[in-house]
Amino acid sequence: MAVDKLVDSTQLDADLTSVANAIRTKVGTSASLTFPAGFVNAVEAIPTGGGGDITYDEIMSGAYQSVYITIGNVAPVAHAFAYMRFKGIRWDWTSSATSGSRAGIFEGCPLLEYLVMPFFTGKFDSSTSWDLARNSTKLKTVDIAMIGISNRSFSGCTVLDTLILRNSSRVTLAHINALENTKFKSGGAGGTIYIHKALYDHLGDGGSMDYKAATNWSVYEGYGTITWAQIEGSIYETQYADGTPIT
Amino acid sequence: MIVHEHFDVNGRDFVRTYSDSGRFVVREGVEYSEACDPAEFGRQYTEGDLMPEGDTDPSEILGILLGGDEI
Repeated sequence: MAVDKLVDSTQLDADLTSVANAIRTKVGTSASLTFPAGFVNAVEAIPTGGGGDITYDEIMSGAYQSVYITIGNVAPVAHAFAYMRFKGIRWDWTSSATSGSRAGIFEGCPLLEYLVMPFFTGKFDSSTSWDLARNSTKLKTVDIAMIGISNRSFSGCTVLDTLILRNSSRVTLAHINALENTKFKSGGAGGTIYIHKALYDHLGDGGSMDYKAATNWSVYEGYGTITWAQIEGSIYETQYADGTPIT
Repeated sequence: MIVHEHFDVNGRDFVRTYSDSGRFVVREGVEYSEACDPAEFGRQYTEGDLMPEGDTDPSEILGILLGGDEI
């Protein structure tokens, strides 16, 4: 081994940390990385892309399993991303309509941890658009602006414990099965639902803006598994669940 | 027709309201597949549009495609 260079160890540590942080951001992890093997392995695990097509087989093989995908203002279709292997999805579809025939868009995504849909303020029609993210068993956080949650939307999302409801009006729950077998279920560990202050201030007043008195929500309130919190003053006031800032 | 069933959640009486003819139930212009409310509110619903007969569970289709059940 040649010992022939003097280095500023403090600067070297800072530089290595900078590189490690860039790698961690790219691959979507917070884990420590050893140098050089951990760095090399993490970089080599980054899916090849460079503007080429992403194939269905690549997605299903798990090549993007640590990746957030961001979809622009495109209307979804039924089962568009069902069973696919992404860590997080942000869908910037901008619509205020009641949308039909879009069942199971994110159903059964085995690795999905975050779902963000900040600009869809309409709702999925319960007659044809159920099972939004049903049985996505790693889904923990849902950040949505929709005015209604349709049947079985998050049924079977067994670790779901954080809902951020950004609509300024009280969100309709079409059926109690929308949250069945989540942490909000009877006897479940419970979770937190973030709502705007204007709605939070109506909790318990029994009026038309009171979530605690709302159809179907009131059952979960009865289970005692909901902790209500204000978006304002929380981290979600300034960022979405995927960590991107609210502009 | 509209059906009402009572059930208990931690000592509080609730009413489950649904249609036995496969329709949504509607209150104040909002459709519910099934509506559960604290009984003391006395909420009233009307029958709305027909719900679909039943969805095909995609996981069943996946099982068939991957060599599960024979059709």
